Amino acid sequence: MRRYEQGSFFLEIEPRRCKGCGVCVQSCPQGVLTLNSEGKVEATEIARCVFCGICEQRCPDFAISVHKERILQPSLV
Amino acid sequence: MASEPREYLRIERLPHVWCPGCGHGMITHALACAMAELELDPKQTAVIGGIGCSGRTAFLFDMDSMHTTHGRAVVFATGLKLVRPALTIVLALGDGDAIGIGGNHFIHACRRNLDLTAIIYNNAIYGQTGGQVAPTTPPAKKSTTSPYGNLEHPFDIARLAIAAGATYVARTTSFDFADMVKFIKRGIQHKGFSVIEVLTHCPTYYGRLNDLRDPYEMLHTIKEQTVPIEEWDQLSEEERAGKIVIGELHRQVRPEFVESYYRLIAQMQRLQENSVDGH
Repeated sequence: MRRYEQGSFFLEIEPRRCKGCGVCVQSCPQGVLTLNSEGKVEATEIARCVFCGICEQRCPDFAISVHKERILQPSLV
Repeated sequence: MASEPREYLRIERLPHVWCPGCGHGMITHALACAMAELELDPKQTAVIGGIGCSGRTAFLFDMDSMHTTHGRAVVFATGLKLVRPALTIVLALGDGDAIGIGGNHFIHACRRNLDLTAIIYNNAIYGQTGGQVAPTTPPAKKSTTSPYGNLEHPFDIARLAIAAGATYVARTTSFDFADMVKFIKRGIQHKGFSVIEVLTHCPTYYGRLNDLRDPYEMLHTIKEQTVPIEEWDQLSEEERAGKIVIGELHRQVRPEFVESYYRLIAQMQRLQENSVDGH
């Protein structure tokens, strides 16, 4: 499990589950994610992350989780 | 009780067997989110799958689950619901499983209006068995058994379900995560047979044979073909050609089968008791 922090918010990526499909990389509106030489996702630009959570929603393999304070109901995010 | 989506899953079974970029993982995630938002009790919930890629969903949920024979998930669910009416039962069906092999069972479950929630993973192809043409493959699209393009007219699952008598019918795509969660939640809450058709992508077979190998590109291609129901009514017949309507398509209140069945049993028992007392 790799952890990428920005203050109290963070992304967790489980490389063992990542299959390198690239859906998260192409979905990210901020260009935070890239695939590394092993074909696994990495949050190389975590400073740009706005924690919208689209990578977590789009990941078919449950490899990414976005952790932030829940200000809104999950269904509204 | 669990309130985090991942608490409903057998996390230790990941990575799952689906191909990289497969939409089935996204639908499974949406189902777990819907369960978490409804705070369903895993001890009172069951997931039933048939054969096909979609059948693997049942393995991933940390609750009672059944992996049944091809097309018969609805049949097993009918039996389970009648024996244990308190259970919340979710069916994870593929397009081939629901309306190909299990078509007859599916229409009759719609007609009976049992309190079940069927999520149909419609990827328009038989993915697990090697990309054969399915009853949902669009015309002129290629599969391993229609290498020159499909000649058949496809089923419209949502319209079929409405015509057969399902009382909650919604359609969405694997692109619209929030809609998937919302419709699955409403389907589970609805008393009666709920059908949630999710148009999803199979990059491995459908995509490779139809020049859409990239899962992200395919996700967008499916989304672009759809029109929300709010806009659908304003479109002319020509504008609707080749488009698919998405949204909450049908909602109806009709007596639920299991409830009617138990009411009848109670009625008959009372009748018998009265006649015994009378003699």
